[in-house]
Amino acid sequence: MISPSDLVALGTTLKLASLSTAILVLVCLPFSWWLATTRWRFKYLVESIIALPLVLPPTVLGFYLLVLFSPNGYLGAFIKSLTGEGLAFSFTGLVVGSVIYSLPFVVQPLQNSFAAIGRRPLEVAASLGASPFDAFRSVVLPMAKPGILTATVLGFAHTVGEFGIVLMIGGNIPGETRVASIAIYEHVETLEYGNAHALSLLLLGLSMALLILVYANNRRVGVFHS
Amino acid sequence: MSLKLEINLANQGFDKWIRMTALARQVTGVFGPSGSGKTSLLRAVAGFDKQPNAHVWFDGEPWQTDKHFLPTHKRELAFVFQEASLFNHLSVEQNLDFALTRARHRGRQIIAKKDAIELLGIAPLVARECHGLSGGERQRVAIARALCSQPKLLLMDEPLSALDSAAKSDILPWLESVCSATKIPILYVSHSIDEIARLSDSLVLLDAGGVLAQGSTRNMLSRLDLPLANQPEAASIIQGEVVRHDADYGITYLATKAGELALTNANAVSIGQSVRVKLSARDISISLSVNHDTSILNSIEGSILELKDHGKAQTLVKVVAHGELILARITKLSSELLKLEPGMVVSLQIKSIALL
Repeated sequence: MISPSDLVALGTTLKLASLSTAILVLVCLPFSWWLATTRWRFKYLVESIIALPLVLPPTVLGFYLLVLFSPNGYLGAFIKSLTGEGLAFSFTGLVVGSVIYSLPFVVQPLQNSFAAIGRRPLEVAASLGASPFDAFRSVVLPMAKPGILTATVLGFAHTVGEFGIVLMIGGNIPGETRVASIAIYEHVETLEYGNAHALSLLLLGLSMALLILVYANNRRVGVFHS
Repeated sequence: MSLKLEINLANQGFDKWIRMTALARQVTGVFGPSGSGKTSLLRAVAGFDKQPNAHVWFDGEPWQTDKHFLPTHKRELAFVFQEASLFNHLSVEQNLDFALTRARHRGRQIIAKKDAIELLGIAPLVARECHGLSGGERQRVAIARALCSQPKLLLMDEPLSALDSAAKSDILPWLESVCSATKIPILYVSHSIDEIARLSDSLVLLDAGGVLAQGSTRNMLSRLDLPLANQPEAASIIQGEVVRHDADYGITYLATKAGELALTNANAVSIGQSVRVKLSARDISISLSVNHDTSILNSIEGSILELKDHGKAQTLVKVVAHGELILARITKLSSELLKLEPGMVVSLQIKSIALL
């Protein structure tokens, strides 16, 4: 019951989720480490801003991004002068939106697992001759592996499930910005319940599988620590 | 190789300067009550915390001056923490290799990996994961790992305090062999007189962020003006040489400056070997004449140097016996009944002697 155009939409969703997650993990590893270790007194302000997507309606976030991305906006004009294309209604624009939207889902597990590791392993590593970067790579990252896995899966799953932002800044361009959640919405609008069922079931299965991965991973880790 | 240290823990509410040196081939004990600055001092030497008023020089190299701060990973030191802090994502052997591959020794080797393994008796553990190790085993691995990083200075921050007493007595002999086998200076922080007496050659006594006294451990232990003699486990240390074993009774005889001493459980020590023994102050009684009809084997003659009341009911007596300083703790009542005074020649009955 899955039509070729739905397959394209699903492909766009997976591409968007993979790319956004890759960017998120790369950016958030050093950033979350900084958040977990800094003694900067205004850290809570940064944390609040990162948590905004958790409470904000996606349409609000999408609206502001749309304004920002428009060729008359600063960012939109800047990007257009660089690439000749606008961010609004483009796949790149969706990636930027997704990264912002899923940020707390990646930052928070990473920050928590870094905070749980604490400073001691770093001191041990330094006393054994490891530079701070070496210690981060060879001690902190392996110790934070469960947290990194959780962050990756949550970031991915959350991007797969986003709808409101995509609707605001992406529109519905097949092969470019038409993602699976938009396709489902469209099927329901046009009363194609069969197609909606098929695609929904697929997303349900995928999300469930990803969450099982996260919780199984957390349980295993829990056993190790007790 | 020596460590020169000058530190003022002003930001921790202290305003006294700590000035000390630690020499090669020596274990320098740092003793003091909680909150006296012991750990802060050690962390400043390691460079974990940038204490604003600290000058640390090692072997002529500035580690910290007013203008200069060498980060921890560039200081040729190793640190043994209270809890063993092994990297649990690595096996025991990988923990050792972590240190070996990052050793900052520029071709100079302090100790080979196999010697470190042997010195701490961890050969059966090497292939294991860190998860299943007991507290004592973990700490032995941590010490071996510290040695594998080929340090020129070894810092130990109460390495036994997190262990139960069985694990403690299990690990102490290993620690002793580390202290006597390595030629590098060792700074050993502890609040246990027992450990300090067993392991350290010289001692720095800290109190409220300042140095109360420093000197050789043997002299410091017997000074009645210092808090060491006032601890329940106050003791004196005597150097001696094993002269013979009595296999029938399981007694070993020791020649010391103070006279011949008999001790048990020392069959393993070979004749001619030099050893240190500990005499606990509470295990020594005093009589005015030599007793022959007593079960106590060890009796030493000496003259009283100093008397000091200890609490309401007890008196500390410092006796010199042929140059050895011995501390006895008796009741104040006995002291007055015997009319003890400095200069008097008395006989000391020593109930038990522990080999260090």
